[in-house]
Amino acid sequence: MAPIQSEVDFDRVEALGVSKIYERHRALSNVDLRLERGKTTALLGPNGAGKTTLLWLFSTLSRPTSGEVRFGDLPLKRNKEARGKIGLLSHASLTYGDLSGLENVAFFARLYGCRFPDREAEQLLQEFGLEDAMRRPVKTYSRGMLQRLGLARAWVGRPTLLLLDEPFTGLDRASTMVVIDRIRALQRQGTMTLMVSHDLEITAELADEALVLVRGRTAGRLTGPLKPDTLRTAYREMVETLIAKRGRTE
Amino acid sequence: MSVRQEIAGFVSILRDSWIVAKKDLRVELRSKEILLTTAYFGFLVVLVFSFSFFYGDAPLHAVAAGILWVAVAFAGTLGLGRVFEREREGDCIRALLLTPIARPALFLGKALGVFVFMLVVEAVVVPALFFFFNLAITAERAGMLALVLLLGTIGYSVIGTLLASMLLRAQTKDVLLTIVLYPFILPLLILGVKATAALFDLTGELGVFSECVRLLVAFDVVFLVASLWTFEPILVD
Repeated sequence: MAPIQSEVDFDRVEALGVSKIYERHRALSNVDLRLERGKTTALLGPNGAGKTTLLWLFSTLSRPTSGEVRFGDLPLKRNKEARGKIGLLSHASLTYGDLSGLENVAFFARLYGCRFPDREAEQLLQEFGLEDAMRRPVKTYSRGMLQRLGLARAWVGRPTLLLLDEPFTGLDRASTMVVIDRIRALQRQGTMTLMVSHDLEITAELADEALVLVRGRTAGRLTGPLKPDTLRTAYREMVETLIAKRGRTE
Repeated sequence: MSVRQEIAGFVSILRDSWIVAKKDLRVELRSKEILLTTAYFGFLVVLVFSFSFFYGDAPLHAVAAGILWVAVAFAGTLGLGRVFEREREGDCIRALLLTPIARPALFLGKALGVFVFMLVVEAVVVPALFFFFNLAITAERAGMLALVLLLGTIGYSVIGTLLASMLLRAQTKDVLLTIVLYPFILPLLILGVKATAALFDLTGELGVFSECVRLLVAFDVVFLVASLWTFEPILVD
């Protein structure tokens, strides 16, 4: 693989007492979270719980109103070195429909300072099973292909932190399994992953631990091997308990 | 930071902005939607106005300068909205913002793309203007006209790019862009019109032209510096 420009690395990312307020709406309130290399952490919670808000704080594209996000020993600064080690995959592939898969990945490889962007893009697309479609415009790709392309794009900078914002939305089971396999391969290479998903089965398959958020507050943490049934029961209890508790105090 | 590092940083910004601009141009060459619609619109503006302003049997030369800048400004607004809509469509702007390139490189790349699109529009509008208004110009004044258009287009691209990126997440961005853009570019349009009118008046002095060009340069420099400075805070929550 061609060398990628990289000056900064970190073995953990931490959110320390972070809160986020949008105008008068408190989206997050005093949340702590620690991510470690090779581990996948899931953010769970009902709609409006603050999951995506917390994910964006880790992406450096949003800053906390109070509290701190640290990359290793570095405080959160939107410096280009830390940014370059973060990969993002959301329900959108974050690619240009009029360009081919190859052109898209090569474009991002150039921005990451890759010396041989076209060769690098070709290798990545082969790795992610898109070798037959790499010269076709992205607008002709199926949903599953788009997500694999999104992963290839996110992997260009060899991220230390991979952020997944509901990447399985709209995918059928077969495509979901392909994307899960790719994410697992990245986990084995030591990437730390933070994922937002409403699907508890996928969460149980991928995540090592989960943080449950309700209305911007931490409702609980789940660790150890996660199984769909126990995860579902524990999640429901945490959400109901916090909602009932807040209902009593309001 | 050593001088060598500063030079390397500057070269890297230029290289990255060219990569971003080249991507925008490549996307446009595939779809051709911005160039075709804006050039067509600019041409129609000139055509319609050429039939609206007559002095006796001939089109009125005195209004030609104003029509040129109206056509360029309106066509530019159409293109600006679309350039940023592409970044919004696939949420590509987030992927761009996560790359390790310096924010000024991203800004300059987008502004360069808009600048090239506008030059293409001007390449259609200016000959149409000369044709429909029966204008004549000397070679020397044609070069001066190119200079005024260049300076005006730089200013327009810089301010337009900044404001369009500011409105990237706004729901009614197309309407808002028009509302916020024109107060900012009004001085630029006035200077452009006055300088162009001085050039079209072949018997007139060029004192006004020189003054306008100096002010256009100052305008471009001020807004370029301000835009590079404010671009990052605009895009991060």
